[in-house]
Amino acid sequence: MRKTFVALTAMALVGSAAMFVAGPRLAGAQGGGTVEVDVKYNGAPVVEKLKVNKDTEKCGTETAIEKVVVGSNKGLANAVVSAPNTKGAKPVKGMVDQHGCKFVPHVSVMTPGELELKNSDDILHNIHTYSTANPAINKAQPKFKKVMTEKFEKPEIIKLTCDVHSWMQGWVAVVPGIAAVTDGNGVAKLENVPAGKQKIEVWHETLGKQDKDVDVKAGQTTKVTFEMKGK
Amino acid sequence: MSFLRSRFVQAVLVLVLAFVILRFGIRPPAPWSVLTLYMAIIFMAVLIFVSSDRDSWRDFISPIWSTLVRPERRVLRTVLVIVLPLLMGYYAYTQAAARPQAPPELRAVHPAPPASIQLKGKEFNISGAENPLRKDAARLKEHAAKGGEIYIRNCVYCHGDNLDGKGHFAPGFNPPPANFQDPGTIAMLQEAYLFWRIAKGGPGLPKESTPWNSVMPAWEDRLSEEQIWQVIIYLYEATGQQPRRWEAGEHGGH
Amino acid sequence: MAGIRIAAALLLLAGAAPAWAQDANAGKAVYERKCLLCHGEKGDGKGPSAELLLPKPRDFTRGLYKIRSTVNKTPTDQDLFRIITEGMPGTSMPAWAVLPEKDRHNLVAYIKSFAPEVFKEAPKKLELPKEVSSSEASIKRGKEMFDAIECHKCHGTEGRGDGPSRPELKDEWGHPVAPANLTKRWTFRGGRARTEIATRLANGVLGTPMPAFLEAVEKPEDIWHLTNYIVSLGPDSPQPATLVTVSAVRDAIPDDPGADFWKKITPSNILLEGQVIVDPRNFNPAIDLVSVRAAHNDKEIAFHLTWDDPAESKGDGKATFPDAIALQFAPQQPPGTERPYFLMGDATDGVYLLRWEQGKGVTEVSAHGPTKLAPIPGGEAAGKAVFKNGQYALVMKRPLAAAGAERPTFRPGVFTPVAFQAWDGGAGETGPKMSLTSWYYLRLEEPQSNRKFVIPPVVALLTFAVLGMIVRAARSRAIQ
Repeated sequence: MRKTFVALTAMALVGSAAMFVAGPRLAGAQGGGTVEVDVKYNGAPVVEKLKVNKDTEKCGTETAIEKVVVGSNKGLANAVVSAPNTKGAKPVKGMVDQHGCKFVPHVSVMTPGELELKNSDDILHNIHTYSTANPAINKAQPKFKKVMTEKFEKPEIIKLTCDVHSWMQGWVAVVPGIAAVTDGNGVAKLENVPAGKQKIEVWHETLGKQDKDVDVKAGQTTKVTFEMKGK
Repeated sequence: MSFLRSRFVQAVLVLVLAFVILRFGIRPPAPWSVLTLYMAIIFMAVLIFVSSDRDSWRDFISPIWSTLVRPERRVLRTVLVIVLPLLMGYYAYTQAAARPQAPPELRAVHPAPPASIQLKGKEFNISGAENPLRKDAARLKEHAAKGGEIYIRNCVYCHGDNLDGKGHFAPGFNPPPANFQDPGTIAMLQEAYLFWRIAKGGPGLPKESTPWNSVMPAWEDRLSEEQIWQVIIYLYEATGQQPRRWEAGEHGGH
Repeated sequence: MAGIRIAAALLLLAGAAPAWAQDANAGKAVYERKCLLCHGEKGDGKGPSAELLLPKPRDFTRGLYKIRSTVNKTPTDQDLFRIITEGMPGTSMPAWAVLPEKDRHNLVAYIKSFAPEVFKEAPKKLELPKEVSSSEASIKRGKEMFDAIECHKCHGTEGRGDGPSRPELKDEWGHPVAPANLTKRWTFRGGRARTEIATRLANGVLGTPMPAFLEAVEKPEDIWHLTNYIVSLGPDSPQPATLVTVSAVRDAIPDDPGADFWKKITPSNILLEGQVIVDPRNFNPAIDLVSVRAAHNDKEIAFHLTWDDPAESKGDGKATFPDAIALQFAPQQPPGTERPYFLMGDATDGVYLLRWEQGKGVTEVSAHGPTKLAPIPGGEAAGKAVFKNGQYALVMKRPLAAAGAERPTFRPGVFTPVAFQAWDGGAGETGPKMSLTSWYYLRLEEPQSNRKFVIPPVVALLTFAVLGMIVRAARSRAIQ
């Protein structure tokens, strides 16, 4: 409780200070700044463990569905952090590998365009997306089809599943703007964010969405902290 | 074309023609037993026709007679004496080697209903009974809708969504589930008859209707009296059939 | 042939489409009469019957259609029209060919109106690779592909829908969904025709785990090799029998269900349906077919039963139970056509069950109704079951003659009533929750009948003698 209070106060201070400093200036016409986003979660990690009954030589005999991963200092990993309204972001090609009967990385970001799907397991997987804005896909990727490329043109956070191995779950965030995924410590850096007032969004697969307006200064690193709430 | 004037050739032609028409002209094909019966009748008719007067009969018989006795027909005669027994032998073989078929189920499809039944401990008159829900014409639609829900949750598995007895359980059961679209079922029965059949199901049938083989449940255990009448209204409403009315002085059955 | 049919369908699609004026309002009226009770008033698949059905009725509001001839999500009008007309085998969706064609077209329009945004996108027709007709080489290639793309993960090594991923499979609504049993082509939702099978392989089945394989095979024509292999896995239809003939043999009958002896006997396929008379009712029976072979010698009678079951179950006693199967007979050959009530008899007339249960083996049971079972002591019944790749094969044996009033004696040449019951314990079936049949017939062949070798020559000789006499009589009259 106290910690939350401290964090909130700190955030408010940083925020108002940033606004006070950056306020009068025109939004960054020349160059951008970095936004370092710190995503915190006060709850416990959620991990479901289950026995594997097939393909054990590739998938192991036990696997875990990591729904909430909390690192050191309450940092929440696998959250998508983005500045969705930024334009002209450097195109980022999506890349997901199916390795050890897991989607690696578990959460990734891409700009609208191509997603490369690798199968390095040498067994059958199927890419089953639960996309609605983009065409829904359910395509087999047998062992000999090492790479498959799919197109996702519309902004959307897409769930990836594999019906052959029902525990496999992954997420690909198609974001037109600048985006990143938090690391094991709950930190993500958004680089080259145009200076000025920017909406920063955080999304997590089970903890939902939050956003904040942040004033970005060219050539400087602005820190912002989000506190995710359990559902 | 002079050979056409021969009575024998005419008789053979009539028989062949009749066979072709009966065998290939009827869709779906008639069973062999029916075909045999019809062919026997036609054969008798042909015999009566050729023997109607002396000349005709002589005309008919002469080719047969000549085959039997004339020396120049010797080859044909020998062939017939050999081929006919072989054909008969082959026919006997097909009959003896045939696998036996399951005996047909002989059952009364719409047996006479009892005059009254016991329903949840009280006497219920079937004879002369009317569907009480029809009295209030304003609520008929509502009863039909309720009946539809009862039907879809209970009856559809055998009697089918289209009420044609082709539910997805139907292929496995003999006797097959009743086809309500068939004008030979509910259209010729009183609603009280349906009430009896639904309430008492297969086990309530008389012996001549093979109660041991009917998979129709006795619905008195699951449906209320009103629900049974509702589903009956649905059956008529959904098929567009009209129930048969009781005639003056009639006591059940038909 | 199929090519011509596709061409004809395309022609129809291209040429006749404008003639099908669709009227969604008229379709609504038909929908309310014929579809609403399952698919619901709002088209969300939540009609009054939905909770009892498996698979669940389609939810039209999502606009996801399993069976389509397109590569994208949008089915063609013809796809929807065809499903309405032909129904979906193996589900509760019947063929509505009985409705006037116009009504069916109007229904298509109305159903589309539940998910208008899906139909904004134009259907993109799937181009199937050039058809490859079936041959030994094609089937062999199909089998190679079947293994390479690991169809067995869901459909099982021999295609009986028993793969290791089976228990995990769910559709996009979260309902459990069973992989198709590829040996029972007549239950294929989208139809058993080769083009249909190839289309499902190429396109997948939307909303289910079945993915699209068009880009996932080595060469496009592999789709057809796979199709040919799948077609080779089983017959086109179940060819149900109504009579089980028990072959007469002289030698000992093998106990081993895998023995060659059994392969020489033609099976009788018996269709089983759900028990819905007493509680708990079984609206979605797991076992729908039992293949029966039977033989007898002068001492014993043996039954060889095979049936598909996705998993061998010994039961945990809570959610799962031991798998079981039973043959039912009248204890004594009944007079006339009379026999006990088909559902395991009743209080007055009991039945005799020759029963096998996982873990228990073969037992003889006397039943007076589906819950009143009592083992008959001191029997000589025995048997052996083998479970492999989603199929049980079982041999049950018993002496022909039996003592006591509870056991029937089997006599050659007599039409003996028989009924069948089966339980997939893994699917939670036990007690009255079973699949069953009403009475069928069983007949023991008379031992080594030589009728068919004796009667025909006698008939031929007699005919010959009669003809000879006629000829002689006629000639002697002619000479006179």
